[in-house]
Amino acid sequence: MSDYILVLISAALVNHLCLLKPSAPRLHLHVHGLACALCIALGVIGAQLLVRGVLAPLHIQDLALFVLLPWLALLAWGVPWLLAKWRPTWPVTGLPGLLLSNAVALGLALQQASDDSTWPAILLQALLAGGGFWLALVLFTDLRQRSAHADIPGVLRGLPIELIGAGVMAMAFSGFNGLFAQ
Amino acid sequence: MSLVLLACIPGLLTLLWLHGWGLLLNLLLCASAAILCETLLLAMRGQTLKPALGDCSALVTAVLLACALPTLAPWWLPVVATSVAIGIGKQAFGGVGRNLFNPAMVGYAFVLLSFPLQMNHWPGPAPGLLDTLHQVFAGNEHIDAWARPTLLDGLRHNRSLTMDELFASHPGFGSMGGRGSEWANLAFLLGGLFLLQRKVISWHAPAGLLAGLFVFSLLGWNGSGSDSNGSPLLHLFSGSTMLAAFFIATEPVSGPKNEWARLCFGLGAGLLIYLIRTWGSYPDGTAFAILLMNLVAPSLERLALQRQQAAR
Repeated sequence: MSDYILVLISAALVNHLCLLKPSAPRLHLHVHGLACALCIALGVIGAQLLVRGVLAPLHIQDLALFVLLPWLALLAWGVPWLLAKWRPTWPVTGLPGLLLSNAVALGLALQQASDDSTWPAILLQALLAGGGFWLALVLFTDLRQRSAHADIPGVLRGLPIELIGAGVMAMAFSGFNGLFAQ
Repeated sequence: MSLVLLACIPGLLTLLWLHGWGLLLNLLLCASAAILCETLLLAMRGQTLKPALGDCSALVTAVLLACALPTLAPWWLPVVATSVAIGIGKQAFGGVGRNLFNPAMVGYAFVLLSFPLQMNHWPGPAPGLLDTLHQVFAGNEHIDAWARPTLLDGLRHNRSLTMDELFASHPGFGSMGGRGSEWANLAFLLGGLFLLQRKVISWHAPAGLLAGLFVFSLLGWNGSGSDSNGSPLLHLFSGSTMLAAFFIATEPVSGPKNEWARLCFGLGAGLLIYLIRTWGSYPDGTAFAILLMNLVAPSLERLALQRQQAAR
């Protein structure tokens, strides 16, 4: 449980620190979150279909990485394209790069390709992972916005205090350690 | 803030009666570390000492930590916890009025995650002054019975007893909420009510937290078995519930400002405390619950604002 949460948080952290501007408007953030959530959910479900429908009958599960990567790349371009079709006013420029570099989708897809979960469990996990990633993005944005002010000591301003904040966030989430493991 | 310190006194006296000299040592260590750390950091940042030290918030952090940390822990544990609380939890984020997280809970979570072994040093019967000093400063291992299981621990690891059997098999558990901790909780409740009466804190966060804990433990409770995690009354009066409700969840800076948001803050904290203390792997969930709710506080604030605008 806590492994999954920490994976989501750290992916959100990477996305934030490397790729998102701190002052991006909230619409931008939510479009990003929605696109990532869709990408993760569809990616995991599609990957499972591919593994069970194509790879398993041919006994070539070892090639999962080579099949899943193109599928996720397809989603990384397809999801922003679909969003742009659906709501033309939404800002989707730059999204494909972010989605492509989002390792959560690949990690979850590969991990699930190797265990025998039931379909309801897979669906639930895919949706929760997508939603969790979106939530982590929102929490990080709040953290960054609230830790950008002049009272913070000069040496810690900017990236250092964001990393400290992320550390405290990880501490908070480690409270879920062992939860539901019994 | 000095009123908050005053309101802690009944709780502190009860803990002193229960745990003996260790609590006094903890208080001394935490308070001196807090003041030292705050002074040092303020001096390094070139700020004036008086306004920051004068509002006693560092002392409140120290007192909360002293209540929460085990009484026979080695001397460096309270020092590390307080330094992290003041240094990382508070001064790094800009000092008084700027902390994003509850400083005391940052310190507590830090030592709980880093030094789980030392965090277990609760004495069974309260040892005398000399034994305590030996234990705290020399790391003396002579005390026969280290720690007693707390009630919440006993509950987690005994899934097939009725509550009456559980209490009967552990005579140290007291009558309701764990070894004397029902008394400590009652004392903190008294202090909390005093703070409410003096309007130092608003009723929203404590009421939310207690209601959340009550409702969710009621949902899990089947009337007698320890597999249903204890009665709502047990949850309200064991562990650190009252301290969390009146002294920790009401921290004004890191929590939300809006009343509706405060109520939700408390409810969420109550739910998380119940989840972590019954199914998690830590003795009690307060620190993590409060830190998590601190993270969600801005979102709650935004929701409350939207709600107000929709109502108009």
